[in-house]
Amino acid sequence: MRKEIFTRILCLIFTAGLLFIPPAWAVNGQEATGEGSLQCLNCHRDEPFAAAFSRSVHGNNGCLSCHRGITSPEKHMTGEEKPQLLSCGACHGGISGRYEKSYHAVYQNMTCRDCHRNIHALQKKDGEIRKNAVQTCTGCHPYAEYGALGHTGKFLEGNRDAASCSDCHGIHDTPAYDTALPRDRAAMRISTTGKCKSCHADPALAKRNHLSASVIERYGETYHGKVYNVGYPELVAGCADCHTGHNILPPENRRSALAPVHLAERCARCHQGFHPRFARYIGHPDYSTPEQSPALFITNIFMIALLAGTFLFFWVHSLLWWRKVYSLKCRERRGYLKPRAIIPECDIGRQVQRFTPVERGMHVALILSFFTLVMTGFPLKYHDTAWSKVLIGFFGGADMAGIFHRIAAVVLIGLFLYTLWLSLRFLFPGWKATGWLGRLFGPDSLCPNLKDLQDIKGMFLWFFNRGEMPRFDRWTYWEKFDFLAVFWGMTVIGGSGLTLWFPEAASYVFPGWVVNVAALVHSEEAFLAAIFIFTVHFFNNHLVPNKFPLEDNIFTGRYSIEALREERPLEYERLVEEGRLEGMKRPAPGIVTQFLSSAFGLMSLLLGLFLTALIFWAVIFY
Amino acid sequence: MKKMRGLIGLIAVVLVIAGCLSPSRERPRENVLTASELQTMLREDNPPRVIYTGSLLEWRDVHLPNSRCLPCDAPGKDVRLLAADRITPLVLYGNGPLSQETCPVYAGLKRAGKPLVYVLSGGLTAWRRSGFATASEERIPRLAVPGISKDTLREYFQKRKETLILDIRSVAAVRIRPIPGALNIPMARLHERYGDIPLDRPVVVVDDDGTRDLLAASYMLRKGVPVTARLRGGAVTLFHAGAEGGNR
Repeated sequence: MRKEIFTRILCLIFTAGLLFIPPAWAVNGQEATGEGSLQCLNCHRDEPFAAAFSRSVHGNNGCLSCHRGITSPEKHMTGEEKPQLLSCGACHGGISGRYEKSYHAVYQNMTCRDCHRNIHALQKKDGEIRKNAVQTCTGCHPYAEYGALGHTGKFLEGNRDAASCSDCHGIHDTPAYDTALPRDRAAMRISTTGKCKSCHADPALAKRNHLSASVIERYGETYHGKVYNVGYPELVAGCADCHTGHNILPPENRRSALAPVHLAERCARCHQGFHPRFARYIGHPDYSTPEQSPALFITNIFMIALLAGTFLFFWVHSLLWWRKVYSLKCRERRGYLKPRAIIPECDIGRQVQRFTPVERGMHVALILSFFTLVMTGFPLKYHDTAWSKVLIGFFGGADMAGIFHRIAAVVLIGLFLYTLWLSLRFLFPGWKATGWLGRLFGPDSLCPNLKDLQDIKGMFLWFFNRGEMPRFDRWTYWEKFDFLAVFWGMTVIGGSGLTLWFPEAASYVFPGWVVNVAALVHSEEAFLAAIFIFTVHFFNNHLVPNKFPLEDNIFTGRYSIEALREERPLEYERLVEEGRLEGMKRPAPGIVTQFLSSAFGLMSLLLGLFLTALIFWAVIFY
Repeated sequence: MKKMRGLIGLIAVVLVIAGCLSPSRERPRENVLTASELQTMLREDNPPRVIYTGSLLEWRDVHLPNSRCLPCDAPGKDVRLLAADRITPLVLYGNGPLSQETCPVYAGLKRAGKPLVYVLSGGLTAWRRSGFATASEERIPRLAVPGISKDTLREYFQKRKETLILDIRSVAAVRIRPIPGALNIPMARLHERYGDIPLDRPVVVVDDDGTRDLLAASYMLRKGVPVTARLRGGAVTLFHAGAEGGNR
């Protein structure tokens, strides 16, 4: 009985098998049932492909669906008709369309069959496309050179987070770049860097594979990353420029492109004329921990402390000052305070000379160069913002903005050196050293002295209604700070800027990581300078209620005798005592001078406030 | 007045510096056509005669429709015949950018006083990148021939000292930068001279820049030549330390 059941089951399986296994003539699919296709097999039955074709992915197609152009078997047999060139695109139009523009089609004239070699036995293997791509690609691109050294090796070992050939290059749309064209070079760099970012910016993937999740973010902290992100990848190094495309191994591995012995070679692809220590530049600087670079970590802490300390002091100072002056103005308006002193009739329409034409010209040049530096530099600092791209585009792109930045820097360095020269002439008139110490700490000097400390204390007492406002001489302590801040800033920003401008030459003096320090210092010090000028300096000189909206004496060169007497009583008394005041009196500026001074001053003020808003926008939202 | 002169001088200096720093814009050569311009010319009443200056093998593999092959390496007397026609414009193209200075076809036409000689900018690749149709007489199926780096080539030689380097660059290119010990058969002559290649040694194919070696290697493998590899990036990688070829 059991034997009978077993026999019946076998019969059933056999019958079912007959239903599913197509007969040999059916290799032509639907056309195999037609007379023409049957005739194909009359001659081609013994071809090697015939056996496997019926089980292939194309097994349901007939011969003529691919081998087109034969209308009559007789004409074909006599050689009168030959099949047309195969056109896989007739069915696979989408893939074919993409492939036609790909590297292998454009540069190598490769067709589908060059990769899909055994077309008559082609099988679809679900979920194995990435693996198959490796097998196919390594036919021409040796595995030892392309796969074993990096991602693909790990992929074949079973790590599905690692990239297969097709993950980076695509399968049918491997881009065809003409590296002679800048546009294509940029597109290639965007494509490769974008592929790297798509995985390495993924925190979950990074965690699974024990990689740093901030590696992309830290690339953005470098000059390379900033220029890349602001929209000019053709000008700087992307991921593959340093890491190469396939030689992705830990730097400890001697075969790695980033092994110390190969680093200089990588840098030399873009940089020339550097000392080997140039290669100690850190491509992904980490400021937050001392492990990678103690120097960077300490510099970062120092810059944070410097910025925090400076802004804390001066913003509190400005706020208290504003409150005090505003309350005084209100009390004056309500008649609680006596009105200002009346000017003698002989002095109506007369002012006092404060700045020489050269000094005014220097300040105008300083303003223009400073704004140029801010507008061309900050788009790189805040490269993620929408405004950075607009601003850099306004200057004609990152390369042109770089030229403007350097011209402005040269102007500023020139001003700095000229000021240094003037300072030396002030200290050593006629190059005689006699009395230089007295001049250095005297009332006409911009060097801080003990009185400034007393003035700071007096000012804070005045803010809290505990005393009178200090009596100032020619220069107040905040004016001296402004002046010295430019000296400090120029030394730091100028020095770091020159290092960034000529990094290869700098490598003969410093190791490459100093460029990272220079980049950090340049960026943070620029922030300090810009925000200090646009908030503290603007407030002290223009926005404080008794000067609002503009104190224009730096442009007109003169201010009223009344203002001199009120703001700098010690200087006024000194000038009267020394009998020099009469000689300093000048007529009030003409209408043209006044208009130009006000217009330029207000425009600068508004531009500075606008840039401040953009910077704070970037700080808060990005 | 003195200050005014100083100011003018300063402005002039700034302008000169700005002029020096601005990126130079290369003027396009007058007789260079883009793929689109050539396509437009081909539709006109007096279409140009299109000449491919690469090898016959490559031309048979793929070419612009209705174009002819006149290799730069073997121009022959056809140049004089072409130059005799003073009316029909002539467009020359190669695989990539065509060197007007080094291509004898171009130089010969110019010497013969042929007017209206143009060059297709970017050559066949630019044409294909623009999506225009191509034709083929007999495409050579590409075979899987590994493209190796120069470092691997060095190792290759250490293991198999009898390896032959087959240099398929033009005679002119080889004369400038020869590869020591290599056998030179220019691509334009390969279909005639592949019989000169010894069959008892592994062969590594080297071209100029790694764009023609796969075709040559596939062709020779079909002819029975034991090609085992091709140098990725071509001869340029041997002569320039930084060059690594297209597929890094």
